[in-house]
Amino acid sequence: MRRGNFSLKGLLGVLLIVTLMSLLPSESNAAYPEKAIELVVPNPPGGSTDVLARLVSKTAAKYVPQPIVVINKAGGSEVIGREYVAHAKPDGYTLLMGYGSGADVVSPYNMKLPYDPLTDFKAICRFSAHPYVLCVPSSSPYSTFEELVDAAKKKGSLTIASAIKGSLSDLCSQVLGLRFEFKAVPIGFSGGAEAVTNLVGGQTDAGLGHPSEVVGHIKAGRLRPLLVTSKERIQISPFQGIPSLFEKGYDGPEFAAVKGVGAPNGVSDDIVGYLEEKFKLVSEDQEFIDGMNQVVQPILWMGAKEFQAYVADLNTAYGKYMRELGMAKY
Amino acid sequence: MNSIQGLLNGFSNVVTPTNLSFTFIGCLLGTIIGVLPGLGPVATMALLLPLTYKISSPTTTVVMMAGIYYGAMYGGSTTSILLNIPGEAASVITCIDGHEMAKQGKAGPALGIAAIGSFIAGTISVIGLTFVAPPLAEIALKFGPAEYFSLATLGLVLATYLISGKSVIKGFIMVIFGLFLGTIGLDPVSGSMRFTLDIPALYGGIDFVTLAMGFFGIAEMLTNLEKQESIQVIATKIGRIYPTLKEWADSLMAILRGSFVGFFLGILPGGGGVMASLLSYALEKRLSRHPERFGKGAIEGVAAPESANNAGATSSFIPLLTLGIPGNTSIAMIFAVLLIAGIQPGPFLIVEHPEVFWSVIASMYIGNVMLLALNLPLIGLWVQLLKIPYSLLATIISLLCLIGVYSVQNNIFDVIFMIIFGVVGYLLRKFDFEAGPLLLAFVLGPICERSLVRALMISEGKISVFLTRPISAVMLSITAILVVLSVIDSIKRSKSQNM
Amino acid sequence: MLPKMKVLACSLIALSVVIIFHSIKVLSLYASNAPGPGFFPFLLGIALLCLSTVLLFSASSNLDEAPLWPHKSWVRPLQAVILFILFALAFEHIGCIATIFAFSFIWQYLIEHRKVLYNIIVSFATSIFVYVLFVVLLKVPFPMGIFSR
Repeated sequence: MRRGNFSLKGLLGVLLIVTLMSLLPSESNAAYPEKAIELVVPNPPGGSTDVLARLVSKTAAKYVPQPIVVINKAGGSEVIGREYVAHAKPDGYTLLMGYGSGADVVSPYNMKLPYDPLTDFKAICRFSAHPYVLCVPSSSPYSTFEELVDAAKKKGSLTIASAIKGSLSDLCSQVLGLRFEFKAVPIGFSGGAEAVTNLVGGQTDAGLGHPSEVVGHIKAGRLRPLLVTSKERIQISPFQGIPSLFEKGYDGPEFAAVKGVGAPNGVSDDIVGYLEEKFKLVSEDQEFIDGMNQVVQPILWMGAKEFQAYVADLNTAYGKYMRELGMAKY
Repeated sequence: MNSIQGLLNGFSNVVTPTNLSFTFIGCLLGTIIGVLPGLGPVATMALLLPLTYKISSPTTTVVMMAGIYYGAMYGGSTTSILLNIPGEAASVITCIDGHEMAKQGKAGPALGIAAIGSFIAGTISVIGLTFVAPPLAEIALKFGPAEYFSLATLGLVLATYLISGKSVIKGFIMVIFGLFLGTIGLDPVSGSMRFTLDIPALYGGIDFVTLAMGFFGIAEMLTNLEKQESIQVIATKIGRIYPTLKEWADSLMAILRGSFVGFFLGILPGGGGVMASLLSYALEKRLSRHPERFGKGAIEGVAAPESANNAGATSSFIPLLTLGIPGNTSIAMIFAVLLIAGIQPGPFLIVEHPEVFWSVIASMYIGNVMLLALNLPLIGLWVQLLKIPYSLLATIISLLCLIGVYSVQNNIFDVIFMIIFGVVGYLLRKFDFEAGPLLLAFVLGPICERSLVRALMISEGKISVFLTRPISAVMLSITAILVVLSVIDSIKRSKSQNM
Repeated sequence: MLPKMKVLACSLIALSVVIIFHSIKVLSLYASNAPGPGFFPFLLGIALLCLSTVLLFSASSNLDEAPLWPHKSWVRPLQAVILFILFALAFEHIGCIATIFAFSFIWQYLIEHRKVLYNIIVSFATSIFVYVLFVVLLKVPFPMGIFSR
């Protein structure tokens, strides 16, 4: 019994000392930035958001006096990383890469989030947006989008390899079915890469993938692209000849995985302006442009105010579709 | 350019001071992180990526990254054998007999056979990669949801076959529990959140490392602490450092069979690694004249899964290099590295950048030799480290577990979950429940369930799809045969007990 | 004192019932051509229920069996668990080095009953070792807490 008391006292004592040690004075308000900036990627390393973040961090070294360090905080379907940034100190040293993606404009309708993706974040800028490319395996007899839709109507349904059910690519598949009047059956894989792999193997009738995920297979002749889901056609080879969704009579939000930078709400306008200016320089840097071309990611710059409104609009537009399709839970 | 010519070109490329040093750095780093529980090759590759921007040749970067990847495979067996902590799903099997051998004072031979087996398997696998890669990759493409379901079902049946404890009921309960833990989180096929109690940290499901370190590492630690004084857990009387000739002979066939099993299964994207070590272990147990030795420190039980592991790690490059399809997260990272360097992995890689293609393959031969040379002497070091007083060793192992789990996702919740699993595992141990089947079921369950649902969605509800597709039919038949054989076995056993 | 195995079996039965209910009510068992998200958990719940029931009846009702923790052997494991939890809570706030030092020190002092001087040296060595290995060599981004600039 005596030993029990002693150990409890001992524990409390050390705890007290350690707590006191942590009450050291915090940073002063000198010129921003005066220490390294954390760029949080809510995905595991190697993915397209991660690659973009690393390119930005590498190029930004030329324009920003402090290093921008990429930190992966994956988990919980991109929620963990966002939660971390949303609740971080709004002093400009914690930023989110990938703001504006499906996790911010689609997930709020089917997941309970510990933050509000629109009001808890301040948009800084948009770097890129990856549209989807609707492809069929080379073994498929269809070579245009119209042929595919006709066949879908005759067959009764069309299996479309997509990423996780309830994600942006799933919504895109279903909206295609809704607007072009065929039954779309999205097959939910664990991610774009798995979906594309299965599509190449001919397991489904069609599939959606980002340009960077399908370009190799298109060049190798294993996949045939039929449609892109952005407003404009993609100008990078080999996507130039592929029609856009909007040329087929579709009118609504474009479908693209938006990759922007966000900061916790409450961050000062000065810091927003500084970052916006520096990131614009990064986006126009030749080395950055070359790097983005190599990884087949388009550069689509948007400034802070425009981007903030853009994300809000996307959220509303997708929300409408979610409710129409019966996918919304919240 | 035929294969031999290409390979020779690749060798001449790799045997430069720069490339050799970077291959070595990769192997060394890979071994270190393989030994450290928690931290995996992907995280390390990501952390080193910024440093590689200064390197001009993409070949150099890739051979280093590849070295980290299969170096981690070599290193992972060390933690499995010495500490009974599986670094990743494929290492769970090694823990079973490997740690038993360590407790019997045979840690040296276990580590030795693991290293040598890995070397032989890796070499066989690279030779296979050199000559038969493209046609095999085509077969890998034929694996759709139906085939993965049949494969995972086969795996689950094998996992139950491995239940070595006295009570089959308890083993099955652990399998069910493992399957249940696998359902927690967002189901990609239906989009529903299952059993997350609205905790965001659970939305993505439980991470394998958290579960493994909790149920194996922490639980074991807590069990050992029950004694009033910390005594040596792993036998100090380390008899030999190297395997005897007899142990060699016993393991040789296991290594060869494991290599082939691992080579073929490693090509399958997603899940190949676990299935490889599981299948090779079960195969050895089935073919052995004394199957009761398995689970109690049979050297084949270490040789087979380790060889399968390593062979699989090498063959998992095949889909990447020939089709541009990454089979697991580590390969996906190498995919990203190539992409950033401006090289598109895929069927044109061998045409557009033959020097990269063949250099990577050549570096694997050399990497295997380096790793063998690195790991064999290290055995002596590990054996010496075991002599550290357990009182201190326990602290260090606990620290490594705590930090290791944190380093996976930089998420403190993972640490808390690991502690919870540790306590649960500790309590279950006191009731004679074993954790191995739980971990295997945890990994195979999601593959099994998701593939089942996807296959049925694609076939529009026709259950016959599992039998009309040839590969799936074959695997399901094997599964059925195994089940029937096991039932016959247990009837025989209970009859002989009654007599 | 209830027989421990029966207590465990009952808890498992309770768990399986919870799973079954959740599967039926919250998750759907069927969804267009294929099993729904509740189907698999439902099967698992049923299986767990059956197995736990078998366990319940096959467990001995002997009340004189050996206790789970003879000679108060639960003390050290409990101390370790509390230390682990404190470690997890403190890690991101006071940083990795301080937490590791405190953890190591308290462990050696309470659980292993070593002398203070030995503790300080060992804890110091451990924290430096971890720092060099993880932060310097492997460049893992650990929170530095009170040591951050």
